[in-house]
Amino acid sequence: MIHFKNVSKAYGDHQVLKDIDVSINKGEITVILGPSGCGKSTLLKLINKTILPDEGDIYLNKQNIRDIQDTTLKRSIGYAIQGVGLFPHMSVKENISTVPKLLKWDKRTIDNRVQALMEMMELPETFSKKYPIHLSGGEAQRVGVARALAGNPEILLMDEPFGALDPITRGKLQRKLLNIQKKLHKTIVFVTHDVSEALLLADELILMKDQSILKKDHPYKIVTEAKALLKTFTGGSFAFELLEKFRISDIVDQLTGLQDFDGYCLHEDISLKEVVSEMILQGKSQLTVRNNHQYYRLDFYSLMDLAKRKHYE
Amino acid sequence: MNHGKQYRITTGMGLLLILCGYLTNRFLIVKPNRILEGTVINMPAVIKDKPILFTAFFLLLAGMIFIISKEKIKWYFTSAVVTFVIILFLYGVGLYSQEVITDFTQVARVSLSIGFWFVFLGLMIVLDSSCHYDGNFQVNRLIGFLGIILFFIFVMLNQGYFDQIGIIKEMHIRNEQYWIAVKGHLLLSLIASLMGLFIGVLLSYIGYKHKKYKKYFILVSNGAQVIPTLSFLGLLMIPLTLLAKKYAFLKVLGISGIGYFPALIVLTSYTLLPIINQSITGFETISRDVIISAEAMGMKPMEVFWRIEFPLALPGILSGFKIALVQSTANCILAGLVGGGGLGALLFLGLAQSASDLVALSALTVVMMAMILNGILSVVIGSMKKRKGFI
Repeated sequence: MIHFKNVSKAYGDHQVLKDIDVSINKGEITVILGPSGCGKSTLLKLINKTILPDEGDIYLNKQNIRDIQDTTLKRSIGYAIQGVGLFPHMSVKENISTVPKLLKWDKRTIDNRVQALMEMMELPETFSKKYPIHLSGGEAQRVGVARALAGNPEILLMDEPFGALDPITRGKLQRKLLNIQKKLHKTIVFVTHDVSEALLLADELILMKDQSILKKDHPYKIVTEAKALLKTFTGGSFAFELLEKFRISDIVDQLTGLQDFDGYCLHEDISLKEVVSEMILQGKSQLTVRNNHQYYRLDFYSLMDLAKRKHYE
Repeated sequence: MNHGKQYRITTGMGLLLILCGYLTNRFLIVKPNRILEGTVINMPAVIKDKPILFTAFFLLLAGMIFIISKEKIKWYFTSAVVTFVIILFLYGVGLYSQEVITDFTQVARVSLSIGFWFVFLGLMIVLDSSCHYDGNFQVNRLIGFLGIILFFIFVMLNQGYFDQIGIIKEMHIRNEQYWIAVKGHLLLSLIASLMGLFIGVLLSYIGYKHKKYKKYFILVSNGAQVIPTLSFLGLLMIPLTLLAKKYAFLKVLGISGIGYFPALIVLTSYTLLPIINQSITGFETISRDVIISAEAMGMKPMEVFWRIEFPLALPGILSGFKIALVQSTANCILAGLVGGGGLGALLFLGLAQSASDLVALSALTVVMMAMILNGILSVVIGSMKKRKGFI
């Protein structure tokens, strides 16, 4: 889908990207993870020509983006940033309909689109007339994501969009993004320096450091095979983040059911990370879980395997 | 300092001014014609003539002092009482002037003197501070009550109550000339401010986009402000005359060393400072994220300007325009000196003839014009900010 070929970029003497050679798959969430100043945001901005590379080429569906007109390219790519950047003089509705208006859609189509997006982002209809100053951080960011999706772009670029939010709101929005992605299958390029966020969201993970790409792989593979590498980014608890991604309801189809059960059991809405936490608290390596009035036995030693299988699905 | 207390003090100062007006010897002057010295009349003499009216006047004033000494009574009520007092005061003076002029020749008149203006100013201060209570300036309340006062002044004017008052008499005598001057004054200030708005916003935008030019634009606008108005007019006179001599078409356009053109240049130059200052601030307070988003969404530079930057800077631009317009209205008086017309022409005519009524008439009209324009623009800016969720 997106292909970087020997791309380099420098600001004066300061090299920000060195010889980047990477492709990003269609319909997946590709997370670029790296410390501040590693060039990950620059990499993102190269995609919609906010920044032009000094050397090398970027291809979008095999077409060199140098051959695509600036505004056409930008209007076909959604873009959400940490500061949200909602237009303060426009209502929520006007904000969301910015790109459709630039694309000269007709009014009915725009209205329907805005309504659908607000429903999808769980923004009440009364919000459409509100101004950004009256929104909380989480609400503003949801509007920001809706605005980025408004033109129905194939590609969505997200530059630490949840970075400024409190942990609870951030968690909700991450879940929300995963849910939306299940329906929309956009090609999402997501930049973050938060390891748990990266492991939670990524279908494909790109590790960046010192202006270049260290590794690009499936997050499960990165966690299990390149442990030492990941430790340079954070501590060693990343297996939990991987388990955080799945809920009991996601993996029950791989479990064998119990005939009948009467006693303590876990709910299907709980994530695998919480299951582990529960096991540690209770000092048991096996727990019973419930899904749709069916009971299953979940074993500690099978957890990572289940997650792995789920990952490769 | 607590706000209620602060405005109680300004109210007190207003009342003090009223007292000064009362004690001054020169309240009104009855003149046989516009130039001769007339008979000086003080306020007590007027009161003796119209006892009932002025008893009511003082009773209300006393009532008001009582009101403001009480914490709990609504200041809204005070504003209403002051408004009534002001109307009563003007009515009394009008009635008195009608009766004191016995020969209805064209030239005899009652001139308003220092005492009258003291009392009037004092009453206005009291009205204004009564609209300030609790630290919030209730613009709408002030405008409302001023509107009521203006309405009654208009009615009394129409009924001829003020016909014997000097300034009104001057207005009637020079009816046509006066309105032409008002129109000319308004037009000149407005055109100068609009030109300043156009040039100023353009320069501000360039300065905002290219930081290296910003300091030059600010330097130029500051520089224009430093030159005294009169010398500026004088400085322009020679080059403009020479230009007009050299190029005939300029003369056809009415451009020469005297007349409206130098006045327009001077006024426009003065508007640049407030407009550029406020507009640059307006542009620079736009968040970086907003511009990044707009550009990333595929807006062309002109679209970013018209859809994002201009509307966001508009409240700032307009408050610069407001200052510029009010300032132009005042500066425009000097246009009268170089044949630029406007109320300045009447004012300097009055000065030359030592006709104080004519001077007062012109000056008062300029003050009122500035206040009205200021009021209108304040309301526009305020409602715009509120509507767009800026506050």
